[in-house]
Amino acid sequence: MNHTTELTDRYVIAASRSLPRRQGREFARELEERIRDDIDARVASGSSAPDAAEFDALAALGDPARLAARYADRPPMLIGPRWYATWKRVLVITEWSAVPAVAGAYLLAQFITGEVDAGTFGTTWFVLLTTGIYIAFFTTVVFAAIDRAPASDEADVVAWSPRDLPAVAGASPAERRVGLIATLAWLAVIVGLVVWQQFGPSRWGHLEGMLPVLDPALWSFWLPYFLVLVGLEAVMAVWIFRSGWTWPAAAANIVLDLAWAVPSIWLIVTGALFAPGFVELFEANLDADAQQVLPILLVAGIVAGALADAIVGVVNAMRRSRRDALGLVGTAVPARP
Amino acid sequence: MNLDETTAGHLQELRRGTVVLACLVRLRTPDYGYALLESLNTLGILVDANTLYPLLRRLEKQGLLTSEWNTDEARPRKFYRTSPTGELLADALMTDWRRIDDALAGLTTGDES
Repeated sequence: MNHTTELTDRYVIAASRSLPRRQGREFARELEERIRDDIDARVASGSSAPDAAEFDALAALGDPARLAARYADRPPMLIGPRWYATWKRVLVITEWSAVPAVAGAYLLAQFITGEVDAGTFGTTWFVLLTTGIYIAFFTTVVFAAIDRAPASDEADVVAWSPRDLPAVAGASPAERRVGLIATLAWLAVIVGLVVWQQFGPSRWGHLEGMLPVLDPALWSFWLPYFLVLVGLEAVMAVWIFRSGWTWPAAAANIVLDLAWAVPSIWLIVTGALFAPGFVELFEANLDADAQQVLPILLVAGIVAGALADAIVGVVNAMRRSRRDALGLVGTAVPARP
Repeated sequence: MNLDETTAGHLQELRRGTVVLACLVRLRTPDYGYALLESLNTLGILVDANTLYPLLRRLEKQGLLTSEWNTDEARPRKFYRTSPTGELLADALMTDWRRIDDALAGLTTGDES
């Protein structure tokens, strides 16, 4: 008899564990009554032998933690439906912005301090992983706490309106036309700068001693090559204006990014990009550390820019293809303005 | 999820509210958990202990039931009774139940004709 009572007590203690002390006492008494009545019923109906009735009753009740969760008003979830969507959005945004930024900064620091070796790949991966885990952990902890805080009406004061619907980027012809004009203007500026830095100062400015920025030797191949790329970028911009971001457009965009980034990085690393006089003019004002860091920052900027541009293209193509897969009929926008 | 599970899930949803109504009506005369469970199931209002006990606790917390520990007998038992608020809710629920029943009846006879 002593043994069986102990079993019920252990069950009640285990089930009351998650409850506050004040609620726990009432809950324990209720649960004891329920178990005793169940045991009596089992013995009376003959469904359990008197010796086994307590064990059977507790087995039927199941895991005490789950039983307690059923009694509690709060369902056993970390973040309830009230905050789930916000939690997910915040988590996605912070992970996607902070993790690449931290890993990129770490990698850049490794390059600048000159500590890059085969192990850098592994440590960068580690930094990436730990940053991601830290952000996920603390974001979730904060939201779990918010979810458990007493519900206030203030959080719901900002009522939803159809105006809050996210815009469909790049869908309207007007928006695409703005994008086309901006890109073409930017390309024209680049061409202008490349030509002007070579011929401008001496021809129009009459300033003797002005030096070109880029090595004039590059005119034999690389500068014309980059000017051809500018032309291809212009074709690309028109293509995107006409048909939007498609998968082929995103792929061509990546190829173009590589065609820009790889030769320019190679030219920087081999020191062939800048005109000899220009570099000396520059280096006179820089100490040894700055001379070492500058090319690294330049290369990092090119890598980051090319990566960002490639990702933007792929993301746009992905959104577009997902949108097309919905097969919306009514909201179709005329292709030509 | 097979058909039996789907059926069981929908039946459970359909019955959930009716168990509340049945408790509020039945507990106009005070009773304790196990006796209530037995009497409801005998009446044909099918409910299992895992649903009923937490439900009683919730209804009490919402002020729809009042409770009192009866220690007259060898074993203490918690007796629940429908509160005045509970009575009002029971009336409202019962009215709605009848309205839904009529509406469904209208729907099925409309189908047959």
